Amino acid sequence: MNRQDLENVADISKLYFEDNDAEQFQNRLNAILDYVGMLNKIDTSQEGDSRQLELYKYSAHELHDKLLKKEVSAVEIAQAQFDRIEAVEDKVKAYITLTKDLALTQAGAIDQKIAQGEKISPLAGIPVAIKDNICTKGIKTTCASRTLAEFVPPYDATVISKLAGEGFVMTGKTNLDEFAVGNSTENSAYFTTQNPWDLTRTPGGSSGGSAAAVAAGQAVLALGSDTGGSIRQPAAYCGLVGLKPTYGLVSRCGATAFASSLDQVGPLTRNVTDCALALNAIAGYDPNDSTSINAPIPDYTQALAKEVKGLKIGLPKEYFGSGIDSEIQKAVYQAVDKLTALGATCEEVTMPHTEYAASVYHIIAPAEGSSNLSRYDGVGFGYRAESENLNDMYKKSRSQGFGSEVKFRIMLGTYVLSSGHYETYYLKAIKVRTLVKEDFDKVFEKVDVLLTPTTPAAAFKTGENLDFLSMYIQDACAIPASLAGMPAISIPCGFTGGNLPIGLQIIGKPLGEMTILRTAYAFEQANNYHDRLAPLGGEL
Amino acid sequence: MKLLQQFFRHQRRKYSSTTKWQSVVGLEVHAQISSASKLFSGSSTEFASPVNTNVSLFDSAVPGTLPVLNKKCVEAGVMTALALNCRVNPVSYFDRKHYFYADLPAGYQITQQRAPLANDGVLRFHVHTPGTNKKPYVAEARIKQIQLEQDSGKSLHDDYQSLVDLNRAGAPLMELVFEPDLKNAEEAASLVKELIIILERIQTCSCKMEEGALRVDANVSIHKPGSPLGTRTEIKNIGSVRGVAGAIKYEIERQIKVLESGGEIVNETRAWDATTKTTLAMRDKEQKQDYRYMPEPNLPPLHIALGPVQQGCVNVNEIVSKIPELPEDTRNRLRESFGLVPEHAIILVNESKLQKLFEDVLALETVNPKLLANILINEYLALIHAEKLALEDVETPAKYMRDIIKLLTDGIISRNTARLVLEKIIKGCKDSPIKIVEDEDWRQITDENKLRQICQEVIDENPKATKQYLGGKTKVFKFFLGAVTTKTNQRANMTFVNNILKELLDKSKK
Repeated sequence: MNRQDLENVADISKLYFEDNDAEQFQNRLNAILDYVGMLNKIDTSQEGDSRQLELYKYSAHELHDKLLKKEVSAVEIAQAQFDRIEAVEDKVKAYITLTKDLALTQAGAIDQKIAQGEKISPLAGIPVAIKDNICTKGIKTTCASRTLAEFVPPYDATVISKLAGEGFVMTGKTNLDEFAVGNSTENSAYFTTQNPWDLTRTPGGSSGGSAAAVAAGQAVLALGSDTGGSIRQPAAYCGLVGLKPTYGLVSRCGATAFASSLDQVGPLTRNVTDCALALNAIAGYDPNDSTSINAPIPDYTQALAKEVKGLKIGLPKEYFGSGIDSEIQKAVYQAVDKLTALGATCEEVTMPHTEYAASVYHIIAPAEGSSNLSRYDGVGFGYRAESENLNDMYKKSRSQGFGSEVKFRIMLGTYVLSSGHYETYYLKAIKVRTLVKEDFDKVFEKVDVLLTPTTPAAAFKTGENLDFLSMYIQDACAIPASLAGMPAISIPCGFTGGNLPIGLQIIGKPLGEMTILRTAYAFEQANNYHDRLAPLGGEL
Repeated sequence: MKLLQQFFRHQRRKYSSTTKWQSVVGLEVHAQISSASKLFSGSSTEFASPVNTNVSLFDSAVPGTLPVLNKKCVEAGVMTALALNCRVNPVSYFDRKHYFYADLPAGYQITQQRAPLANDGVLRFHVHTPGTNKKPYVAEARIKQIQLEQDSGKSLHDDYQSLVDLNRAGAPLMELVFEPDLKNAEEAASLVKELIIILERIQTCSCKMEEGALRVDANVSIHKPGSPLGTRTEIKNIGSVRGVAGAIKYEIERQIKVLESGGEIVNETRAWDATTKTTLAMRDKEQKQDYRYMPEPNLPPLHIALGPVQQGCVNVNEIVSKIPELPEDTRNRLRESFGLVPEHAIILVNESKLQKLFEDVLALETVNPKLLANILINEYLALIHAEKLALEDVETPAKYMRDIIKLLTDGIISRNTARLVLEKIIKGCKDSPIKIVEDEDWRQITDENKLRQICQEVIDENPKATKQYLGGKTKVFKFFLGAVTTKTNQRANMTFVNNILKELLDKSKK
């Protein structure tokens, strides 16, 4: 430090000093700076990275604060995110496609905004993973199917445009069961995703890649799609918050369809606050989706109030039968106790058609699926097999392009719609669907929300080869709300003895997202389940 | 009623002499709705655009795309339903009809199978074949339903490959399903003609059959009176009114031949070949399809407001107020307000351009409407046909037509001269009729003294004929009329001549 440096420092410090003092200051400062200079001998190049590596643990609203305070840049967050992905992706296998270049570009744009003093949205610069059945312009969208292995959508789904408007950063496209058909990602044409809580187990499905990515810190939050539990069941298995919005609240435009009357896009997050932020971003009327609801959208973060006094909880007894593991039942009942302790009231209710819901689902979903998947015929786009003639081309392309479970459901769906069987199966199913919905309408005259287990058991082992009925039963608690179009959320409510997360399902009235978020938030704030991180096989 | 009885008598006569069979015909008409964009997407419906240019992501069934109903198409469908006396349904639904074909990208067509836009209409039409001796009569066909649906694309094949053009994929169609109320090919053709006039009038379909904007499927069966209906065949995609008549006539005769030679009619789909004028079984339609109809989950129920309350996609009351005068009302008005004979009213309405000219002339000046209709139909239209021109291609100013009628009624020109003037105009002469008459010196001779002089000359020049006339051979009078016509180069006022000649000849008798 020379005299000039000293004067600069004095000026910045708003101090005057006498010439006599100056020399003394200068000497003493130089001495101490020499002394502390020893720190330079230590290699700290790894230290900076570890600071960034830690960034994967933060949730969206925390990262947003850090961006606003300029503690980190969006590029740093993105870089840290991809470091994390590189470290754990081999174990988890959450992603079909990674979009690092795009992510860094998107993050750079947010940093520029911040530098220019522009206001940024709550999701700006936040790394988000997208289920690979949601169309992303210029980025492969495979639906985990061979038939769409090379499909590059020429447009963005409405939810993607909305997230882009918020300034999100896309990490990549996540694995799923082919065309969202399944609940384990084992039906993916590419690979099976593992549960970060126990790598020998399934993350659930079909949004298993999205759930695993968020649970393993490979994305801050993710979008999934739910047809009969495909967001809630993986959220339960992976210890996350997963919301299936009211049918029509979120646009389906650009979400490749399996069962159009059931499909809804929704967020998977590590806590309720992020869920509310994500819902703020994606909800809303879309003229391109004729089933989307044209209603004003509230600010869902207003629901985060820790306040459940007077909330009327219903416990539908049909969801607590012998098919539900005792550990799960116990956790759900404890959650109910917790909420009543917080001031909610609780009563048992009955929904007599619940037991028929799965049968209805396994007729309607494959029927619509068989119809929606008709377009993958090898003519327009997608996989086309070598063939003799048009009919042969159809059959070969579809046989080779689709996996076994998808083919099974196409066959089932075609059968229940075909002449002579339509009335017995399909028509019957849509009539019983109405009865299932009426069950909800009736109980919601008395209660505000329904609390149930999300799944009858915790995550099962991959490759366990459950017979299909035991497999299908995993969605039994999730299906009724899908059939009725009701909003439903799964939040962590405990762990099994084997340290596997347990999910609590909160079902609300149509457009009752505020109420279920409020309930979920109050419960979350009274517990710490969401603070626990997935151990990733104990190695990280 | 009398007309109908005559018709039945006529039919009985016709069949009893040749065969004991009765034919039953039902039609299904696909009319492309005149709208700028498709039924569920924003892409253009313009005809003859370059291949695969009017194709949105939805039209090509790109994953994740969704249908958005075009309100204009609903309006057109409702207006058509109202014009055809249908009951418009307050709620209708869309369904998917599944089948695999290269020009059907989604693997299904969105249509209305369960609850269509409208039901239970009726179309009355005149069965009138100009140029035949048959008296026109009124027939009717009930309309079972009108539904909105998407068109498919087009497959183009050659020996080596098949290509697909999706310009038409998703184009808006109204399918009009008629009950099998028709008795023969002539009625079917007349129905289609009337339908075209109505749709053109309300502008919900261009009806350009040559562009495929209106396509007809015909169900045909024959049976003996008193016995149940026979097995029917369906003739697909007939592309002209003449084709409708030809195909059905051929198919009825074919079925009679098959049954009379001990054969059986197969329930099959056949195609009309306009060049060979035969119907042929369509091989690719041999296999019975299972369409697996299913509610379209991407479209909510279609609500139509029937009352004054604005609730629903479109409001019937608003549409009713937009419907112009329908053809049958026009015919009645032409008969009642102008005293036209039914045939003239029918022809004027069938030839909308002629009707417009008729009304335009009367809007200029109140000339004799019967004479005007007569000249338009029997002179003007006949001349156009004789010249092998299309009415659409001939432009005649209303004031020229008015002038001609005035020249006629004022006795300045004769009907013969009127025809000559019209011929010049049709052939492209731009001069006004008055100028033409002056230039050509076609003014009729009405001066009585001059006519008297000419008549006297003719009598003087033909003593032999005069003698014959005076001897009682009154037929020879026509000869005198002809002679005056020739002598005056057709310019003499023949009403005057008639009287003068009679007077002069009678005078010479004394």
